[in-house]
Amino acid sequence: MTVAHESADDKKWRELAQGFGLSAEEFARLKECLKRAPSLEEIAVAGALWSEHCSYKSSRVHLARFHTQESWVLQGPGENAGIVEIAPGVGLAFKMESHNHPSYIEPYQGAATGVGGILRDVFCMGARPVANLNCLRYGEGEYNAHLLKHTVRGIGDYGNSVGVPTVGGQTRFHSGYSKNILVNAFTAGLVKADGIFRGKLQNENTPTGTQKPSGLIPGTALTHAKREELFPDGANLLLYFGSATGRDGVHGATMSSDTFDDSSATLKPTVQVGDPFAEKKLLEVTLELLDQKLCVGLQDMGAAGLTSSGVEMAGRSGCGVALDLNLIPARTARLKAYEYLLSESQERMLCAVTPEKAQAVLELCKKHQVAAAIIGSVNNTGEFICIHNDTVACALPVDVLTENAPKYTWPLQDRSAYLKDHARIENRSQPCSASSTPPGGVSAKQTLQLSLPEPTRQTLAQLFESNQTTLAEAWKEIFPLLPDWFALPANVSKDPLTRHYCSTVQGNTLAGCQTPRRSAAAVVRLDDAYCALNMKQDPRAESVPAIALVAGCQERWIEIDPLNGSAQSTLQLGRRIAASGGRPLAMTDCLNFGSPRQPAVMRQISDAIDGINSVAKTMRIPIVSGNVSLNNQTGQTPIPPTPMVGMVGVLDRATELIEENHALNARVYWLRDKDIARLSRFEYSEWAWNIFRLNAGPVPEVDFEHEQKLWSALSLLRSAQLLAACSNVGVGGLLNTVLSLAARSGFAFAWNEKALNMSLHECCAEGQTGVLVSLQSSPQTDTRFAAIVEQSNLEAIEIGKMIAPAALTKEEHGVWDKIHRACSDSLKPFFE
Amino acid sequence: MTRRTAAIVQFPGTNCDHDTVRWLSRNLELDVQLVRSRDDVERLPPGDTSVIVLPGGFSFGDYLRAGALAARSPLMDWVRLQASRGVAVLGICNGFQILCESGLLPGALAPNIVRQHVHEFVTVHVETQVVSPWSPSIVESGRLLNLPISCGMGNFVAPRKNDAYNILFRYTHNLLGSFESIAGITNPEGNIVGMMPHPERASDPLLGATDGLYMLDALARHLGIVVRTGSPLAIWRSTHKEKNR
Repeated sequence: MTVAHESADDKKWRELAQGFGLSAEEFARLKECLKRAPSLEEIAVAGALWSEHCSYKSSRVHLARFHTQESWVLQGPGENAGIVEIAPGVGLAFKMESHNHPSYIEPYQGAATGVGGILRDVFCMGARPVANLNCLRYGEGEYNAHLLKHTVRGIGDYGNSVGVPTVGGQTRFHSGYSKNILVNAFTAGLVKADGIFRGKLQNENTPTGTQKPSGLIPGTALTHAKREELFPDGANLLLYFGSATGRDGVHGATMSSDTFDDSSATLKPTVQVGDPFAEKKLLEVTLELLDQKLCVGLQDMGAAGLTSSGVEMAGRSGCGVALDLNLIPARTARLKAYEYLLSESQERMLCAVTPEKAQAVLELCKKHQVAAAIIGSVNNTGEFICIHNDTVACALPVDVLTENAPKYTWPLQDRSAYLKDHARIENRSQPCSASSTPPGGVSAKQTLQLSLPEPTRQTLAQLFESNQTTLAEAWKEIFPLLPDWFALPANVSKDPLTRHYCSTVQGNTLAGCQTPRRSAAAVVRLDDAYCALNMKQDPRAESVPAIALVAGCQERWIEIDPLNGSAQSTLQLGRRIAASGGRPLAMTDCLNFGSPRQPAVMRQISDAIDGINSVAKTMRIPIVSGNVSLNNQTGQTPIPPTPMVGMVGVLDRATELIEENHALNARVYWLRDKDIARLSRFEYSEWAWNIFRLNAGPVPEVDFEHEQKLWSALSLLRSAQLLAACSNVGVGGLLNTVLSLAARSGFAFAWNEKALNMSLHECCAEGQTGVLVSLQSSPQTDTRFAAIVEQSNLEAIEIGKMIAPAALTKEEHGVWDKIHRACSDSLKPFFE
Repeated sequence: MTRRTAAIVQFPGTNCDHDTVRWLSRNLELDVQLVRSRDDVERLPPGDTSVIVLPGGFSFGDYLRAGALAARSPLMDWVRLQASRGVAVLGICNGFQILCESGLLPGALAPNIVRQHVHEFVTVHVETQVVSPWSPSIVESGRLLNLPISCGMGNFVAPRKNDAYNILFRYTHNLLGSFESIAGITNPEGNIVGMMPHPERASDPLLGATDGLYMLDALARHLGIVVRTGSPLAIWRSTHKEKNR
């Protein structure tokens, strides 16, 4: 289309549309679809629903490749959350969602409402939330320290108050997030397989057959006859319940539209504010409503509020929807039509009910002290119609907003060109001079400092220079520098952060943050209410199954090679579930990337999807739900590619849990592939990143066969009851994993000769690096263990044992004390 | 013999109700009932209620002050009446806050000195001089218990008169800033107990924490309630006896 000859009026409307997020082409497309000029409200609605967030317009083509089906999948992508069967008759509904931009602007409310949104996605399917996870990414500097403190507080306060335990997740730091932090929230909930509720209207009162366009034009008054057509007798009613609607979250851009209206009401766009008490009430009323089968359709109001819930409901069911905006419970007087439509006020639901049951729903809401009102009806127009002050504000065909929303296939950078460009990634965090922040501490200003002190870094650089140096040769010099290493935000214990999350509410958290037992994955036992078990017969509930939950990704690897990097990173999550005693079942994703208009970013998106998908297909861990967050960038610099994955698994019995921490005097084995050099490399490890301030490719190609062997060996070892503890060898390879485990337990680690003869690079390499195990002390354990390892074609190397620091020399003891303190205390000042 | 009844009081925003029900019903031969309103009270099984528990959570969102709104609800009049008759009342976390706000226990709970929600396993010391159906000191004195706390307002502030309460638990490390490290108190009569730590979340070997069972053990002994066979408490009792021998 040409904009060269447009009139002044056309220009005004085009700019207005731009304010609502529609490009010039998209605005032209909207006019073409309607064959008339759209109203302000229609532009607002289309702008919201054609946004990346709602329409997945840039990622849809790629998302279609995901492996989504297995026999245990009860609900794949397309609903509010995915569901898998975890025990006969019991489903687990789960999903992850981003709330990055609001959290950067207002960290406390941004993060809190992110948790609220994902909780609603899960409970509106009839599932009772049983666990929350969160994946967080921060950058450096003072503002990021502020963001860290307040996002953590927001997440904690909301989840704690609703009564859902926050059991785990992943928090990492990288200077690439300094101007665009990530806050991704994950919720899992239990639902009876026959009690799953879907957004599609499920009864005959919904006219889904041939559709009769209303012929309404916005701006015209609604006649009595037309009103009867839009709100037909006997059709399903649309019922709103939850908090009242205000101006929260109405896009700031709408300010510009003020010039189109002479009324004096001031526009005060605000960020969304969370009310966890309202959410708790909403949770209880929703589950009771679904349990009593009072409604035929239900949708939470998330991004783009009423607009998206109304249109999604109509789109899924193939009918039309008419709303009278004046009937909506409002918090503020004189809300404009588009404000009703775009408001992102929290804790609201839209449900469809048959006329006979409407009264019962209203009464139920009253009992739970939740506001409710009938605000509209379904009809046979196939349109999304909104009436405001008896005037038509919006009459848009639903398919224009859904199937016919724009889809983009943005150009991709050539894969080999991408790999060449990203073969070396520099660590751009501020160097830490000797005089700046002392190691193990934070300066008075509380600024996040992501680099090793320069003298330490230089010494380490000399030690790590050669790939021939053995651990024995270097240990004496590395050891006293370890307190600096463990003071790095990447390596410190996250306990000072997770202590703000209540992880034990509901009484089923077997292993999570701040629990007596720890495991490689968070493990939550199924609630009695969802087990067919009779408590009286089996009060110990030992045969109750449990779910294992992990989430995260390794952006450093993915930036070098999105395909192999994301496959490696996703596989690591599965390994953690296997190490906890579980069996991976399914995943959800939350794809955080920069702008899809950059061909390099598009390559990252496409390859990351393929990488995750290779794990899904080969290991049979289908992807059942997901979310995409694009345009995470400042200026031309995108964030590192961060395709967060949340994975769930099952432990057939809660008693099968394997703990992560090795006991005092436990002999520790490194269980791994016989040819580990093929599967892991030092050059893209956390060590190289901090010491040489550089990560270099290539990322090794994934060996799925090895991983399958490892997982089944773990399962055999577990059933043979040989394992005392099992931990994943993750970030920073063997060296970092062993030392972190020792530091967290307050132990020291004594390397044996075999370990000391390993090369430093082997000890610090990342990739498919296996697991650490220690064994039960029962007769013949060693021989049975050796037999299973042999049979699985793996190797197990004894590397040393956990000892008490007091048994060491005074000097060594002193260093271990410093390591323990650096590890446990370095994040504390940020939360004071 | 009729079964004894335990009432678990539920307000809007209470979120430890189901854990508390399970805690009692898994371990003790009690008829455990959730009570949400005065109507629910009328529907309780005939005979006296022996035990009332106010579980944790965020009643009415804990807006205004923690527990302040719940303390003024009609349901609390019933709790007050039962408490005056000597029924064993336990308030955990938000329940403790409600008991203080309603005047059933003296003092108040102020925001934690760290000004944030804190969730952590802590060690509390059982005071020896207290006689209460909930007090493990009936069985043994001076014991240390490992229990989780999870609260934003757990900083106990005491009234001037110190004969208005007995100290039941003290923190070994006073994280929240409580007066004299107080973690739990009883009324002078001993039948009403309020405590910040959550015994119901530490009563299962699978969770790696069993010290909450001390309180159920004491309750069962004091009120003569039968322990459920094969329950965590029954198993705990048998191993515990062996250890003490």
